[in-house]
Amino acid sequence: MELNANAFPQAATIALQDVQLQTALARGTGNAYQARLRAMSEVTDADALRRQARAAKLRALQNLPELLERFEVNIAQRGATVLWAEDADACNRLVIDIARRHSVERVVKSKSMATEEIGLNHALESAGLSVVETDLGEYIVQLDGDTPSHIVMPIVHKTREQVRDLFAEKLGMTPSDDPEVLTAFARQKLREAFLSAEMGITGANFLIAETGTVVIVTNEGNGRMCSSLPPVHVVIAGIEKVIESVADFATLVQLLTRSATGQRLSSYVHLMSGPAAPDDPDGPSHVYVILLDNGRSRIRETDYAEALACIRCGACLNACPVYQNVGGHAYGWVYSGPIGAVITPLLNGVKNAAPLPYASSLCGACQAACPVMINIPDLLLRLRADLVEAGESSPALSAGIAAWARAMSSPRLYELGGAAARLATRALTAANGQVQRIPVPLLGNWTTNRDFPPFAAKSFRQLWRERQRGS
Amino acid sequence: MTLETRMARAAILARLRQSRPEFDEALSAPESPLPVTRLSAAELNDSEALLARFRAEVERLSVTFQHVPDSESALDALLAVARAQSAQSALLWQNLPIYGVQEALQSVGVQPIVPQVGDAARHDIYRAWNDVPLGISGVDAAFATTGTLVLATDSGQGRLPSLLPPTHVALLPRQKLFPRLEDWLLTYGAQTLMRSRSVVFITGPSRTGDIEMQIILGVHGPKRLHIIVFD
Repeated sequence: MELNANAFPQAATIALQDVQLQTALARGTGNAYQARLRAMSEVTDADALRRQARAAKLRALQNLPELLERFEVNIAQRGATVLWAEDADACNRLVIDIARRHSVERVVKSKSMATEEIGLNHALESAGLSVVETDLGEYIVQLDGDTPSHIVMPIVHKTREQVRDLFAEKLGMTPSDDPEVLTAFARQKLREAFLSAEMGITGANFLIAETGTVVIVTNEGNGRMCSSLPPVHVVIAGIEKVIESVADFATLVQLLTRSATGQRLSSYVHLMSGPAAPDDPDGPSHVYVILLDNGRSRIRETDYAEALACIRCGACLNACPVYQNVGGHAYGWVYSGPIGAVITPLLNGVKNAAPLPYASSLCGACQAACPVMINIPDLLLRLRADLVEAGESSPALSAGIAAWARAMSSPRLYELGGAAARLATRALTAANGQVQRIPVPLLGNWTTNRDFPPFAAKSFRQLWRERQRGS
Repeated sequence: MTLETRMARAAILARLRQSRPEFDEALSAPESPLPVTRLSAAELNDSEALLARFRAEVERLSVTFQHVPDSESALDALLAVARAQSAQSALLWQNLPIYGVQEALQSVGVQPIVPQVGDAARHDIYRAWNDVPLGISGVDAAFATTGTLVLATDSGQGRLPSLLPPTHVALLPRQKLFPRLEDWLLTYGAQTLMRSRSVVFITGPSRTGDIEMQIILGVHGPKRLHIIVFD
């Protein structure tokens, strides 16, 4: 997917004025946020479980090479082929090679962030393969030439009327805006795709090293279809997906679904450990698992390693006041919201996603929602520091911060600065008693979208002195 | 392809071995992990209470639940579902927990279709099964606190009867009911995953909330899930 993160300020401005988007986002994030709170409030001990889940993921990150090898041995033993890919191009080439080897023409896909990240659909189509996304939301996004805007709710930005018009235009469906009717229509279309495809592609939510198992979590059942019906099943999984044991999986999968949609468990948790056994009555004849690095091993070497613990539940998106207002597209890449603001710069270079670390008020709602307690505010602050060190901060900001630092370390300068601000804001105060425009670079951004209250006529220190004198 | 992926493997593993992230917190695996879901003392000690919890959980998920005293009445209940769906055929496991299902279906005019060893390699046959209205399977385990069924593949236990038809009837022997997912996984999880190539946890029918978060059942998999528990 094309990276457009540096356009965040402009994209966010447009999103804020989009009334339909604002309605959809309020409903989507609001519902998901409440559902998570309900689901997490009924567990034995939410914080202890989050610590347990976090420890499982961090432990796996430490022991990553051994766990990947163990996973590989265990699943290969049962006939799956494990392949490794350094980057997006290598991964896409592997999938195309597999398709050629098995004379594949039609591919069905289940939702996967990793395949969005590497632009797999585009690569497969360029190689002459037909690719159908089968998650309902992703199918709609694909038909519309759009991109998903949420990790778990890909079309949270769309209304039923938009889906009605899309199905009528692209599929010739008799218009209806009843989600039940729209879904039944899509079921028929997609069932045909499942039955005619020679290859199914899925991502993985977890790879269990202990048993060599790929875990695919879906509600619709499309993950099971893609991994059961076509003769060839290809799994594309980031290397950070591996976990140690079945015991770790028991905690993680339940926190994943509770955090993502508020469900105690998603409808289908599919644990797949290789192609159909010789005496299985159904199932794929060939299974390939591609372990994708694409920058992950480099991130693991840095102070940002914790970001790799993310299990892609989307809870931080729903909790974030910035995401709630601008939606996923404004972030300009595959991963949006608070975790996207961390991962996008890490995977693409901080200069290529410079506005994202600032797309946060650092309120901490993301960390509070995260089932593995990733310290997202801290990671965002460190990315801001990296931007300054890379010379990517505005000279006005640096000068301003330097002046502020001097003023804060001298009582006299502090008082003088206060007096100057008081005079300046009073001079700028408009008829409504507020400052409507600050004619100074950077500070002026404040008044683009809202007024600034003028400084009080007397400072606290002044009032204090007067009080002392009076008594 | 082979050379490039082998080189990638070596390079990635070498990088991963070269440095390991350090975290200033305790990360050792707990001796006995804290369970996720709460269970009352009654549910833990009394199988009636546990079954009642399971029932409440699956009914919340729009599942039809039936509890019958024995396998004969389970068979009757199954035939009643087939009649209610006006099913002409059914896709089923060879290994069902009750005897005589195939004969009983035939006697009421329902053609039983049982995927056999060797069918896995014949993917074109799946298309012929696409219009079968009813799928029938057994259950390897069930979890009360999440309302979950576990189905594991085996020679007579395929993936399709619980996946292709719009109605799935699951025959659950009562002794397969466990309190929680974590209890079963810690005891039987690893061995089941090492034995079966596909193990699925089914929690309610297929569902989506993609269009304006309105829940619609049966988007890809079964729209109706019918659980028959028998003693």
